[in-house]
Amino acid sequence: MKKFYALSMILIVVAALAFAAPTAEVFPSRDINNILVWGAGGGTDLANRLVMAEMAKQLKVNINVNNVTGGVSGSVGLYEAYGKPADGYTLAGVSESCVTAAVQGGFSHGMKVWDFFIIGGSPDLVSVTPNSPYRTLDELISAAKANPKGIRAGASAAGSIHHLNLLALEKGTGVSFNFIPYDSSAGSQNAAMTGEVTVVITSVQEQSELLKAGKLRPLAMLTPDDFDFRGTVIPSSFKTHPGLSQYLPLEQQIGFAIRKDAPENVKQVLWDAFKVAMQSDPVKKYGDEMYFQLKGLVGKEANDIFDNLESVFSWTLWDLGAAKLNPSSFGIPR
Amino acid sequence: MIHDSKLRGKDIVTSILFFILGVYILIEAFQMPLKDTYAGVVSKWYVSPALLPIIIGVSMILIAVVILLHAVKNGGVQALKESFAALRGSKVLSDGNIRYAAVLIPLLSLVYINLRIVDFYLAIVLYLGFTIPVFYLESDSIRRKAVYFYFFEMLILLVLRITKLSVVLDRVFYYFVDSIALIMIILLLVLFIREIKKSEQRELYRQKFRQAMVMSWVTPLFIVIIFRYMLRVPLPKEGAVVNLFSMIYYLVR
Amino acid sequence: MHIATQFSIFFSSIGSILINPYQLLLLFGSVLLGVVFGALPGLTATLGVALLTTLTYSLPMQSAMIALMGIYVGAVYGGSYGSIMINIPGTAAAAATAMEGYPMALQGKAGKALGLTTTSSAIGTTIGMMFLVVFTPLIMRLALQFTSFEFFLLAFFGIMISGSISCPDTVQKGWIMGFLGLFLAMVGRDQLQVYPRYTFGIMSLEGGIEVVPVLIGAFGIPQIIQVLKDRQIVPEPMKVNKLLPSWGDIIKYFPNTVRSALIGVGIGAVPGIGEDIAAWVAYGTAKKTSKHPELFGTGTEEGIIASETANNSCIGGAMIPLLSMGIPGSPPAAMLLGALLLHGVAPGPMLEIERPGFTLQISAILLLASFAMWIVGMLLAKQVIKLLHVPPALFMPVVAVLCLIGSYALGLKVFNLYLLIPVGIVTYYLTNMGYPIPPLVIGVILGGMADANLRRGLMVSQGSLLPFITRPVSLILVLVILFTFLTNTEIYRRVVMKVRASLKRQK
Repeated sequence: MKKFYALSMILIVVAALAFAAPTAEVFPSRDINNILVWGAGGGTDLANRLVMAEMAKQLKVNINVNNVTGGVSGSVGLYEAYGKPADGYTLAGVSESCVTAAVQGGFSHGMKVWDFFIIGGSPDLVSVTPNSPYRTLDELISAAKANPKGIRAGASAAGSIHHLNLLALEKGTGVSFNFIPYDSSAGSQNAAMTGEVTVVITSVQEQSELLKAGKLRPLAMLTPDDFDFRGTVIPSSFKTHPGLSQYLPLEQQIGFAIRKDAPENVKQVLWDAFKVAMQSDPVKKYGDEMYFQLKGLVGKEANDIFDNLESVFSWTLWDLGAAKLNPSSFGIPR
Repeated sequence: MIHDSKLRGKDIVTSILFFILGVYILIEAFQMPLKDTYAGVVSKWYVSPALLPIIIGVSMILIAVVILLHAVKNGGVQALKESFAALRGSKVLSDGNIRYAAVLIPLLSLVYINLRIVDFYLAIVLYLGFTIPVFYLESDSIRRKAVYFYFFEMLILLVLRITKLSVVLDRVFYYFVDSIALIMIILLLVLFIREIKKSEQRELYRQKFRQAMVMSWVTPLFIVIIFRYMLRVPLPKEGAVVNLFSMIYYLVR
Repeated sequence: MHIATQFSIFFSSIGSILINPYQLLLLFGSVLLGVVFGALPGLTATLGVALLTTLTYSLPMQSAMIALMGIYVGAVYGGSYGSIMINIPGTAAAAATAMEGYPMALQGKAGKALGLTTTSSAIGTTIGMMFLVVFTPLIMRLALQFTSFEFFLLAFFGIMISGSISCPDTVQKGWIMGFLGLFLAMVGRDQLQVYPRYTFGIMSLEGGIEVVPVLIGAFGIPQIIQVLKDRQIVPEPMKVNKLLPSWGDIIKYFPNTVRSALIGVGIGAVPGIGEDIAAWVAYGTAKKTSKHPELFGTGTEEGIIASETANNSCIGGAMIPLLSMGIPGSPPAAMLLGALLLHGVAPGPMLEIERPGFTLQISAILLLASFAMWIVGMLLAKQVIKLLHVPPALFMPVVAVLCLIGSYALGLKVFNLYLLIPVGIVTYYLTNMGYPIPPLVIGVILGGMADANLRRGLMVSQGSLLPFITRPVSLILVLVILFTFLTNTEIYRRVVMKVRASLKRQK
């Protein structure tokens, strides 16, 4: 009797196993996972959560956002997402900072194995504390020329987008600041509040509340165009300092990626859903409120942007001596 | 906590270990960039990533010395000698050590072996189905036999994991390793049932074993449902049973 | 805004939630979910808020805020269940509660302990809420006194105080564990120059060692080994008639409660540090000011009240910089900021102009959440105590599995479990030799902050150590640290003894 029980148990289980074997299906027929390489609550996280929620409406399945942080430049999350089958059920939530993953010894495949979806980003600007004497970028630059390394400038950690913008500003104008690194953009802005640094480079979105309250004084955009911030026009730095166009713009790019070897029809489904999501009201409203330039780019256009960023970031870090591996060993063009 | 004078004996060992760790921290720290410019930040001593590690290393060495001196002053050496003498007399496979092994072997194999290669549900049943009865029955003889047998089973899984044979097998049949795990669970079940039959407190053990089995098979069910389908956490390995659940979930939804 | 209009906004938002059965259900549901999240080892308040942010995205803003504040309050409170019942704090914020709560449970007073934590958590949340309403501008000015120097000293003080108060043997053992924690925090890329330290070339270590695997490893694994291997058994709880603390108790502990709440609000308002540190500092202060400091660690009611009041009042404190500057005061508040942005609310100086009365609405929700938490807690505690009747051999292995899956769920990293086990086994031996665990965990939590801020502070001052004593807040912290250090050394004790002896002789 006991033997019979055991035997029938095994039979049932084996039947169930055969039954549960994965079968071919129409995409998407189950939940999609977005493995987000940065922490919960950050800019990349928020934009992804919003767009995913809108895409979920189109695709009629849930899209779960899981924050898998750690490593360098989000490498742990990149590996996690890359290790999953290329079936479109796994996406990687990324931003421009991921492009250094290869040269930092994090993610050896680099950016060439992904197809990107770019949601957009908020442009960077130079601001100073309101009690400082600098009214325009010119004044700040000439003061910095007179006093090399004398003015403290805060930005997020070495190798971040804001740090690279600061470096570009230094190179393009031929001055040097005393760079004080912070663990986040918010950290550098807090430091400006407490008077620890005078100059801050972060994005419009990150500064918006402080700008509104007059706790920071905007000097210039680090992009080619002027920026209309709630009626106040922040001038582009390119006009007064043409030398900058050689190094800038370096813009924040928030979005997500799918493995390049995923089936084309799956990518097409995701592209369509993404385009519709980018046109939805909540996303547009979010873009307005966050001072985002919504891009909604996919395919080659998006990939070209990331390839270019990878090249600029990797070589800049290499020249600074802060990259672990030579970019040329990954075939990253200069 | 152990008695005070015995404690001083152990303090000697731990403080020496801490001392060595402190030295290691310092050696590593002095290889970090101390003066050169790194990553666009002009390095002075106070900017160096080695600054706090040096402080930590030095403090750890100093405190370790204080603990060592305190221990030596308060009869630590004598206590240490006594514990060594006691150690020489003790058996490796004593009942106490088997108890310890019964805690650690399943825990270590769950984390380092099974979670990655066996279906999550089965891996948890393989853990609970051993740990719960082994401690709940409270019989030294059954525990000893079960530990030996379980150790042998885990050794097989370890070989599969290290040689990456598990990947090859799963390619042959999608749920090959899961099936092996299931057979292991059943064999373990058979072992317990036979041992309980042979034992003197058959009735009590049988009742306890039934409770233990309910606990080991039902709780992982809840864990999978809550974490996989309510919190939507992708599990480390989703094999035979979890995929079955998913299929039912997508059918029902 | 006129005071009368403020009152009317505050009470009308309370009323509107109370008469809406759907929102009430949402409030209680999310608080309950929060308690479960907090109680399960590994799942944190931050993860809970993150999860609900996605799930409540389609709800209207007020409903979403009810759910988010509910789970936040519930999770910070829920951590105490694990601390009291099994000596495994569900969250880092509840680690200090385990110091007194578990000994109380060992004496059969688990019911009383849970009643105390529930009530003091509710009182703490309410006091935090009141500060949010009344003192926001004042507290903001204070919080802005914190620059890199102060952050470093605060981190150092946190490690120091947890080292010196939680020590069963000599105080050096507490400190060395604190330094061990600091060392673990050094592993990985440094925050300023991204230089890899102590990573042994292992890629997963480059991101650093996370708090949760250390917390669960250091508290959970030794406890599981102890219960199973050494048969340490929690006795069946005494019959509980009343979970509610008496009015006499409430009055007796009133000064302690208020002091702890103040500490909680203050620490909550400082950006970047949160509930865990608040609980330790309040616990340490309660010990220093107690008439019977020697009883701490044996199950004192004062200790539980201090840590639980402080960690919950921290919530209100953390909301202050969040709503007035858009700067989150604690890690879960950072996620809350994200949720607000998703709903189109930009917290900051302009908030009250763009959305008048928003702070008051949040305060009203916070008040209701603290009531809901109290009711849920009182109903739940009686049921939870029954768990102690289950034989440990049946549920301890399940606790082990929950510890593992909880730590894995945060970040989906099996590597964290690879770390958790060795940390657990090493701490098992260390605990048995009289080394305390809390400083290790606090060291890991605060290590990164101590490192980055020390170096950044020196970078700003060009290497000068003077700001340590010229900045007012910094000077106070330096003095407090020196005092803590001196009172714990042999020399100090000898001097005190000599002074006392000579005084006697003169008499």
